[in-house]
Parts: sequence; structure tokens; C-alpha cells
Amino acid sequence: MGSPTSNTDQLIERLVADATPVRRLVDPRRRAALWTAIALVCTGLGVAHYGVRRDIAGAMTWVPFLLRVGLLAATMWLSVVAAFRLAVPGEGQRAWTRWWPLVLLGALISIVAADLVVVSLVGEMGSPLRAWTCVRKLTFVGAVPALGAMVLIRRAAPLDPVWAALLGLVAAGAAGALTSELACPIRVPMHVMLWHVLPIAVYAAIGTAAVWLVVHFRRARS
Amino acid sequence: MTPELELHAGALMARAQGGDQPAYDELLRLAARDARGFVARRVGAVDWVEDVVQEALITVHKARHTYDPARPFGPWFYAIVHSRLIDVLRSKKRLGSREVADEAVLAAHPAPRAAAADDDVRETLARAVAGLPRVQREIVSLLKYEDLSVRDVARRMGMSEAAVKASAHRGYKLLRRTVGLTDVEHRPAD
Repeated sequence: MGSPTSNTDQLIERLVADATPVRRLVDPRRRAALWTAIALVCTGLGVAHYGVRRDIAGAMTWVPFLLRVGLLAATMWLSVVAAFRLAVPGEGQRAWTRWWPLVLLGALISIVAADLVVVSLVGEMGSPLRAWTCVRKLTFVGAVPALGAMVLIRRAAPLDPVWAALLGLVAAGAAGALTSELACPIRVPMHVMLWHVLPIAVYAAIGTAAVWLVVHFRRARS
Repeated sequence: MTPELELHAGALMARAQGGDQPAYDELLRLAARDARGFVARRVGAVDWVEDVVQEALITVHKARHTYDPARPFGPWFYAIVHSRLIDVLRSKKRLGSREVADEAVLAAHPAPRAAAADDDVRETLARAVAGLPRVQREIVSLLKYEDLSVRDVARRMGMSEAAVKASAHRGYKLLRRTVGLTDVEHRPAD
């Protein structure tokens, strides 16, 4: 057998022989726009299925609700853009690309936590243990966008698949949580925290851990 | 990579995406040369430069559909080489510690070693080696029977050193299981 360099030459010959025409990947932002359109359709279908919250007219004038919905939408958009950019070599290399969406998610959690503290001071915490339906809403509505994000990330070539998956799952979780916000009339901060907001982080963490395991298992086998 | 070369590489990749094999051949050779320089500038003259170069070329091949000819080639290409360099460094670190652990296991268990002089044990070992998957069998035989270095085995097998070490490690693990050394402990290197 030859030297390492001649092995590289042989590898190049093999790769060149395999160089069939490829279809160029669409720009990450356009892919993110396509994904967002699908996620919003899922959210719309979810709201149609579960019913719009009874107090929607009043909620539209309630600042904490508008702030939460705005932050969820921004988290969803920035997360999916970052996920798809990270799936292309050389794109989204700056740290803020990946951290911005998580900062927004942190801001959302902080706002609800602050609300929780304020309410607890006046003794109206509410019961947190009665709302699995909101988690079901988030899960069912978020499943299709989550799957779509994973497929689109895989279709590209992520050099850091764990980060790309984390951001894709945060985006899908935010789409699911939007449905909960628009369909569930419960305003109690403890409920919002436990059943609307924290599941985004929990699902993203579980999904990311699964992707991490798959990636490390593959690397160990190769 | 000079700006002119970067432009040229981008144009070659655009043609390669359309299935132009001579352009792709030129691009990969250019990329290999550049990747060698990139690695050498970052980690110095190491004997596993080609491991990184080969991993990078394979990634370039798999990711070639993600290159946008409207953008510069350099950031796309160097992101790949940098990422593969980190991967190879990590795998070296991981395999290095495992490799020593295997030697430590053998040194710490003289009984099976002494018993290997026994014909029965020798036969058991030979059978166990024969039962390994082909690549692992060849690598273990070259390393342990012919006493070749990992680098020589890598050259002879046409594989990277990292791949040889990984395959040998899996082979040793299978052998230990086959000959009943399931109680051996992995000790960290001294």
C-alpha cells in the first residue's frame, strides 16, 4: 500500500468517480420561511381544533399575553433561521446566531417567572396540577414542525448537528406553545410556566439529548 | 487561499455541482493541499494530517450541494476543515486513552499471558482471532503477530491511523469477550 498522501489521491479518485450532479440547497432563510409557513398552518389547525380561547378579545389588550406571544413568535423564527444556517458549513458561525434564540426563550421564562413572583406575593398562585391538555396541545401541534425541522436539517450538512437540532426543536416547541397560548384561557402564571413555557425547554432538551446520543454512537462506530 | 484561488475554487465547485468531474478532481486536489496547510498552521507537523484532510474531503463531497456559488468558497471550506480537525483531535484523545488502557489491561493480567504459552490457550486465541470480522482480524494480526506499528498497518490497509486504532480497539474488546476475560478492568494510563 502507498503513503498517506497516495491514499488521499485514491480517495479523491473515488470521490470524483462518485461526483454526480447535485441539486443546490435553497438559501437557509428561504427554507426557514417555508418551515415557518408550515408551522403556522399547524398552529392554525391546532387552534381551530382546540378552539380559540374564550377571552381572546380581552387577551389582545393584555400586555403580558401580547409579550408572551411576541416572544414565542420571535423565538420560533430566530431559532429556525439559526438551525438552518448552522446546517450549512460556514454559515451562522458567530456565537450570537445560536445564542440569540435561547436568550429570547430565557426572556420568556423570566417574564412568566416575574409574573409568578408578583402573583405569589398576593397569594393567588393557583393549582398547577390540572392541565395535561395544554402539554398535549403543544406536543401534537409541535410534532409536525419538529419532524420537518429535523428532515430539513438532515437534508443540509450540519457540522454541529446537536446545536442545529436543539434550535430546530426550540422552534417547533415555540410553534406548539403558540397554540396553547391562543387556545388556553387560563391566565394563572404557574399554569403558563409549567404547561405552556417550560415544556419547550424540556422537549428541546430531551430531543437534543437523543440527537447527541445518536451522533456519538455513530462516531464511536465509525 | 488567495482571493484569486478562492474565486477559482468557487467556480470549480459550481461546475462540480453540475457533475463536471475534471473540475471536481482539480478542486479536491486544490482543497487537499490547502487543508494540509491549514492543519499544519494550527497544530504543526503532526503525522495525522492526512486523517484530517481525508475526513475533510469526504465532508466536502457529502456537503457539496450546500455550497452557494454566490458566496465565497473559503468560509464554507475552512468551516469544514476546522470542524474535521476538531473531530480528529477529539478522536485521537479518546483513542489514545483507550489504547493505553488495553496495554494496561494486558500488563495487569499476567496469568492469561503466561497461559498463552499453553497450547490450548494459544489455540483458543487463534480461534478467537479467526472469528473476528475480516478488517479487525487483519489489523489485530498485523499489530500483534507481525508486530507492525499502527502507522504501518494504516498504510498497508489503506486506512487512517484513527480508523486502525478504532478497529483494533473493537477487535481487542471482542477478543476479551470471546476468551472470557470479561472481568478485566480498564485502568487509566499511569
